[in-house]
Amino acid sequence: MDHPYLPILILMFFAFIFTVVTIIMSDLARPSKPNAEKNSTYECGAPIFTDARGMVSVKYYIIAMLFLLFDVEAAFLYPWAINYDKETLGLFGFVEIVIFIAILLVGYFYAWRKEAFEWES
Amino acid sequence: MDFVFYLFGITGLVSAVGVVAFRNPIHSALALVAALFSTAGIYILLDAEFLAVLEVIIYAGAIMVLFLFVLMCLNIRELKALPQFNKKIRPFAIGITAIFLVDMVYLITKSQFGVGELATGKYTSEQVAAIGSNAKALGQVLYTRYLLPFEAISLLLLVAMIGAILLMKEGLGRK
Repeated sequence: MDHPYLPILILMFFAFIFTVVTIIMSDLARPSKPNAEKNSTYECGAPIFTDARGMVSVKYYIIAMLFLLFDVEAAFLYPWAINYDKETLGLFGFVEIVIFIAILLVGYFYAWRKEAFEWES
Repeated sequence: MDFVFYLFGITGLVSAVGVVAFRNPIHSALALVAALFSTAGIYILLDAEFLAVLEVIIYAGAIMVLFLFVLMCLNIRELKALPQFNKKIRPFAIGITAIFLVDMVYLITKSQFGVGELATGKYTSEQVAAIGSNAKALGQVLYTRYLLPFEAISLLLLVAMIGAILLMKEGLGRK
């Protein structure tokens, strides 16, 4: 029982217990006098004007897709960054990662030219 | 340690069942996040920290964002009843499931839960610990021996990026 990730597990455990206990305690402690106004969805105090399940613009899809792709690119930079020193990778590693980023930069400029970052187009 | 494995195993299984059993697609998506987190926990138990971190950052983070946006773009409402299998698909579904079942039974019986005899490569837990960390050991092979696949990944990402932009711009232009 000396796993280096044990503290994180303990933290998760207490976060879970805290949430459950808070919900149960507040349910037991508060008076229950519901009415239509109280039961309506809280939307920063403004009256609700439509269903939450409206269709959102398909433009969000491209934002999420670009986020995913650049996230994967960033994931490949972590193992490179911690190995980047004179003995293991050196100049070879540097050229390699520049090629990797350059290829993806083509995609970035393509997205830029095609106005994928623009909301109105 | 066994207790932690069963904890993540059970939460993973329960939430994976939830993904297909919930009627509200948003609940299914959140159950998938729980399943991915449990998988990350099991990766940590297997000393694969880097894999666990990527599981959370890429799957539970980026891919789930994509899933949720797709759900919202398609405007899928709560299902009245769970969709039933098409009768024609049923034999294929049962067949594929049977193949996976045979695979899993084979792996489990042959290797004492997978991490026994089958994992006989050079990079054992001890070897990785000697190098320093998971990510470091991965980097040392990825950026030297597997250089070509690594550069090919950037091309794959580029194709995905251009494909997604093209599809969306074409679709919006035609309207």
